[in-house]
Amino acid sequence: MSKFSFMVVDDSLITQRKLSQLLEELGHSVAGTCVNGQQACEKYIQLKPDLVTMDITMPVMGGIEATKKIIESDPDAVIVMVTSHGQKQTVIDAIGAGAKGYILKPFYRDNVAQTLNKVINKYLNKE
Amino acid sequence: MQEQSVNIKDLMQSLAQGTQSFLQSEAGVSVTGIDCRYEPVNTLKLSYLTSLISVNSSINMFFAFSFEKDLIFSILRQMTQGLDYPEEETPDYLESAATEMLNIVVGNTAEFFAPGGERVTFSPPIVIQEARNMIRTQGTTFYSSVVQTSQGNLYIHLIGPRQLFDEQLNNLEAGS
Repeated sequence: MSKFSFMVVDDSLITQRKLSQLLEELGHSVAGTCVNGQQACEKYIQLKPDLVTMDITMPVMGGIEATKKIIESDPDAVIVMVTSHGQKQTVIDAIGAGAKGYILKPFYRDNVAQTLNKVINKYLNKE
Repeated sequence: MQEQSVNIKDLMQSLAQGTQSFLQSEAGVSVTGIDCRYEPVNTLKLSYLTSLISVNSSINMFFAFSFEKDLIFSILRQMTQGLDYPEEETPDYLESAATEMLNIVVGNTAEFFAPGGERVTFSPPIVIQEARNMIRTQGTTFYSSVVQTSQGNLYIHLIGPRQLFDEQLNNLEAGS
């Protein structure tokens, strides 16, 4: 599988570090990290990552709103939500905002890899 | 106080089970006992470190996990296994461990708050680093359960109504 650049958005320091480490173990690179949605919107324009992992509940600006804003500025943005909130309505909101996938915390290597592979194959490995 | 549409007994049991599951599977901590209480209490014990979240649903309360010192350090060690960080950043990682655990346990009970599928939103979790006792005053309601572990206790507190407290759990009307 090709290597892709990621931006990790999460207000949890541990999750940010663990997810970044996991992405690197999976052969990807982490172009940057953010602690809230507003920072993510700003950094996305600078970094132009291939994929974004986005927490939902964050201070200043949450992940659903940030996803909407990033998709507005770049309709091809590929964003995967990583959250502990597994409520159906939240998943519907995330997909409605333009997210391409959803990973539930606590996350494990296998389910992160599986979800990312699906998203990568569908949205980034298009011939 | 507005009547809660959520059954406190079911909610407490759900939170205690989620806590036990997280501690055992994610933090490698053995749970030795759970003292689930379903009646309001007059005093709450805030331990070494407390993480706090509010849920925008029919239950108008703060949810708090209050950790004894040895327990939160034990959880931190397990959650940061394989991560290097400078010692001076330990307080930041402790806060992150406490808030992330609360977020995951309460987040995974989201369906519980809205059995009809209505939208449930959570506040970003915050941390209180001050051990103290909270005394209930008129118009407020406290619930509390204890999860006992091999590394110390974790107290699960429900505190309401939310509007009577600030984010450090000071009672706004009592001026405490």
